[in-house]
Amino acid sequence: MAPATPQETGDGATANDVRDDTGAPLKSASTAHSTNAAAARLTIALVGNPNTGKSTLFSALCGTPARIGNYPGVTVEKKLGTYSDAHGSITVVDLPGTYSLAARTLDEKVSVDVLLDHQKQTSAIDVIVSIVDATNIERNLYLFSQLRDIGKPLVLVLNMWDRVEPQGMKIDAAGISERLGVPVVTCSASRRRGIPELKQAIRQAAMSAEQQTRAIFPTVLGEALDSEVRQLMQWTADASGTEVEPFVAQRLLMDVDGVLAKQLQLRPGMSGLGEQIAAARTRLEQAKLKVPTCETKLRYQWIRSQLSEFVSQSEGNRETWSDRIDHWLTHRVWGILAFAAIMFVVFQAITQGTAWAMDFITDSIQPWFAGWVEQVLPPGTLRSLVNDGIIAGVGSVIVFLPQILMLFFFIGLLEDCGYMARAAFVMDKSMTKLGLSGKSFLPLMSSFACAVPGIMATRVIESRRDRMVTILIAPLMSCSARLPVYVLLVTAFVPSIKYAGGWIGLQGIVLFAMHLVGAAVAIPVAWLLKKYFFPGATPPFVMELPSYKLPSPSVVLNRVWERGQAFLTRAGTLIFCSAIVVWAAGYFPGNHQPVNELTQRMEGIEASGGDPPAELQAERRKLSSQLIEQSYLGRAGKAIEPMVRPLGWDWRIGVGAIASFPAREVIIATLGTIYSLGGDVDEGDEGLLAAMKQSKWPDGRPVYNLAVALSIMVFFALCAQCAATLMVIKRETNSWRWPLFSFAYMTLLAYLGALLTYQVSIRLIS
Amino acid sequence: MIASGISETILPLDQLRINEVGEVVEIVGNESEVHRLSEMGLHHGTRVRVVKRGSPCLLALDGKRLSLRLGSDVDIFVSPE
Repeated sequence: MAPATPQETGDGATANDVRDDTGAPLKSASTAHSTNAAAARLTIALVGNPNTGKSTLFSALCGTPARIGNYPGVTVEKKLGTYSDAHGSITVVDLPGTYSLAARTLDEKVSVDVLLDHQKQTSAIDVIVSIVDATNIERNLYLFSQLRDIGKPLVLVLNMWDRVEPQGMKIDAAGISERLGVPVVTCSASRRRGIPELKQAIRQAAMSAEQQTRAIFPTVLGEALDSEVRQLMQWTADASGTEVEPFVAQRLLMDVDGVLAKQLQLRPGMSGLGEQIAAARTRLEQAKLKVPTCETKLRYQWIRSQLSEFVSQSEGNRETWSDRIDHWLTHRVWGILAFAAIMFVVFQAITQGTAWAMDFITDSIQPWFAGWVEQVLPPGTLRSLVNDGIIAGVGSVIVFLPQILMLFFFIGLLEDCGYMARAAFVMDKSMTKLGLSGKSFLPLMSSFACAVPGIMATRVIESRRDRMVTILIAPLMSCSARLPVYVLLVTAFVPSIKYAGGWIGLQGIVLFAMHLVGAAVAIPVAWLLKKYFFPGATPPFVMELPSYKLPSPSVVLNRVWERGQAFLTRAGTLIFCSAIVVWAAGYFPGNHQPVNELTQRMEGIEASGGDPPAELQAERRKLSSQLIEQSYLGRAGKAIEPMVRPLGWDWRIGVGAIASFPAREVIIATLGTIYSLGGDVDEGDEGLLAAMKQSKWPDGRPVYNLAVALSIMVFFALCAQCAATLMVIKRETNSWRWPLFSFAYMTLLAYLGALLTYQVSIRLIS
Repeated sequence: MIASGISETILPLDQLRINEVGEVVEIVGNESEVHRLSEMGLHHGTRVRVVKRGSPCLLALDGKRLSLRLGSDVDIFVSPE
């Protein structure tokens, strides 16, 4: 097809002449003579449509982001990074992907605020980098044309340049640069191509901007609109002395129900703003410029007139190989089967592919560490803190690092190759039955990694009601914090039976099934929420599907690295503290003198090369278990035991479940500490796993069996044991009501679910 | 609202067959929804090819793939080639 239609209008074309002030940057550094110290530090903003490779470009520029946070009062992720060039350091602000700068919501307004330097937390933006998918240049330049009206130095990045030629397209980048009057850099961010040139162009754009003031008018929109913009600026200045930028005035005129107008109207003297805007729009409509449709019309007209000479496209829009793949992957039957098969393989890989790493940590690293501590520290409170609290507690959690890394490896792979959006497409049909759209599927899918980013990702959902429902069911998705709990119980209590010549294992099947529990329960919950709490029509579903590509190793590994770090940080902070509290509750009060003396005697025998007699070991185990049963933890556990007995649990599991309300993994740390304090873990055996297998009721029956393991897993699948998630729900819904609601309904579901599971499965097993 | 030089047949988008190409002639209905679609690149004059029919459907706008299930208040009319 030919976007290169003949120039339809001339009014857009004149706009660039005045703006030829960034120099002709593809040529050389002729204007870049100024090396002002103040210019050495720069702040730049990356702006682009979704799926233009913006985050890949960000990591190509900066490596891992230096800081990720939120802008105050809104749910927009604030991502900052830095890099250095020969002149100084550059701070990069990555703005959320968007199709337009129209600010309809507070979240959308953040980008405008940052770009206009109204955002207090970000320093003034020196250069705006507009990222465009070169193969979709015409559509992508819509956002560029808005950025252009801001009047700051711009650099246009034609990303995915490597795909231009294979698609039969021809783009004259130098010609476009000259025509638009901005530096144009061609990049293939995923292959790290064009990055040095981009850094150079950014620096040059900043330097040449120092010498010239930039003219805003005429804008792409033409004189009729520009004069209304000026008039409105004049009015705000007269009415309340408020100087608004031309860009803000333009948005005031163009954004129907825009948030900028709503906020400005509250200022003193500005109450007549709405009337002014309405009058201006009426005048424009009389001139056949109807707001908001005239904006897209004028901008696309301008884009075509600018590109016609420089872009040619083969007579295209034929079926491609990716369409043929999509034909199957988005099929209403095969698509769902393909999705299920992919997930099945992922969970098989997690159980079967990481066992060696887990064994290595539990069999080699942990005992070595504990042995070293025993050589250094004499028996006593300090040694108990280190061995029973930290190594047995936090260490038991860290064992699961390989599984977490594996999970994020697959999630990164599926996201980066473009599959996830297809899954959302397939799921849209089922989601509409619940009154939701496929848009809710992506946040739910990322909640399988962690509900916190999942809940934050719900901001792409336009309808508030759908967003609320999605937020409230997101914590039911089985997050990676549940993975260690499942893996521990599955490896210990699900028989290791293999099918299909060893390729499929029962353990992997159970692990997969546990991940389905939460999702299955979410279906009726979503239906009820939508029906009784947030009734409303099924929202439309409009979403761009990224093109398929080979996953970039750096993007995938970066993701694995980030999450691995987050997991270890969590283990080192929240779980570490919880483990110490649990240890203290399990250690005090009690007289540890006899058991310490006993240990010293046994170690003395060992040191002289002998084996301590079995009765000494039995004696120590008896003393230890008495101590823990008399401790605060033991007493509390005994008190709650009647409540958890119907679930098949003993007091240890009950205490573990309660201690894990701040974070799920704490149950592992707690059980690790309890069994270690209770003397159930001997040096050299397999730690927590073996201790659980040996754990017995007072009458000698084993505490754990398959029914108990299933009941614990179902409880953890459904329970809201995550303080971070509840906090994020509070922040996103701006009310305590919804986190409390989530907590209550999930805890109730968890108890009932575990009760049902135990009572049914114990009858089936026996 | 018919652009010059294209055929007179105008169909609702969902009447296009798989891999049939049509030019968007008109998008009518809910104003803000129509505007949002145009910002995403679906507007008067866009050539679309149907990759997958149904609800949602999958459209090819040159290199871009858009999944689309509209509410009952927006209609897209195309002129097939």
